[in-house]
Amino acid sequence: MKRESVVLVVALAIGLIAFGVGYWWCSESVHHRDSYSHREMLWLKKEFKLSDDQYDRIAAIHESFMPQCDELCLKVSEVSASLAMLIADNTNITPEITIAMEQAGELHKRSREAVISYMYEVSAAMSPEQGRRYLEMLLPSVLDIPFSVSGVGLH
Amino acid sequence: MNDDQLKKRLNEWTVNPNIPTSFSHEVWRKIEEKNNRKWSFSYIFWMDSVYQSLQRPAVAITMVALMVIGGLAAGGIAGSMKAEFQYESLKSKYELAINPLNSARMEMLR
Repeated sequence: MKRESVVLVVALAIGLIAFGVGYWWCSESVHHRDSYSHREMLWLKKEFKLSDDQYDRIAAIHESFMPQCDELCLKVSEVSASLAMLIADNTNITPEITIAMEQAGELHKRSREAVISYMYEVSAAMSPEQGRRYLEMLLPSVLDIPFSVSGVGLH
Repeated sequence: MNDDQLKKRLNEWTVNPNIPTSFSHEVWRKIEEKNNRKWSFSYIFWMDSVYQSLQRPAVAITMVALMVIGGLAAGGIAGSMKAEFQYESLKSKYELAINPLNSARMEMLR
């Protein structure tokens, strides 16, 4: 092999390695090279600039909320599925459908209350400014309606 | 045929060239082809001279340095784009995790 070919091959190989290093460094550094159990909590920590203390408090709130959240999720799925079946099996509103709709409504209300209460707790563990931003950013998607915490009202 | 007759015949003679409609287009195409050939020839010549100059240590070191810088920059950009995408997906994941209604919807869609 000619000397210039060797140089070319070596340069290309080094370029590829450099690409891999750059890719790894930039894609990993954003998400930290540590072992948090919930990756989404990392987002919370970074987005709302949480200190370690704040993060630990919020992680504890999150951990204690998750079983309640899972239970509600399961109940909502069951009630929604049975309501869907009742609606499909009938041609007009029956007392069973009315009861299932009431149950679904009650569960939705409980779910919203639970998640809003969780979010108030989480926002209280943050600095006032970040807590307000947290509610401002996440309440609309949780409530499924346009919402403003800043007091301006709906937008 | 004498000269006068020949002159007369020549004066009467009209040439009616039968040029195809694409003639002008063909001429320009050929000119362009020739220019391209000239460019590709100079490009090959340039590449060859770069290749030959790799024998010189200074050029070889520059080449390696350029590859390192270029590789790091390109990898960095690609990595940042991936990280940005993942960061956004983590927000959605968090929203989904804390909302029983959204989680139930996802469960039913599965």
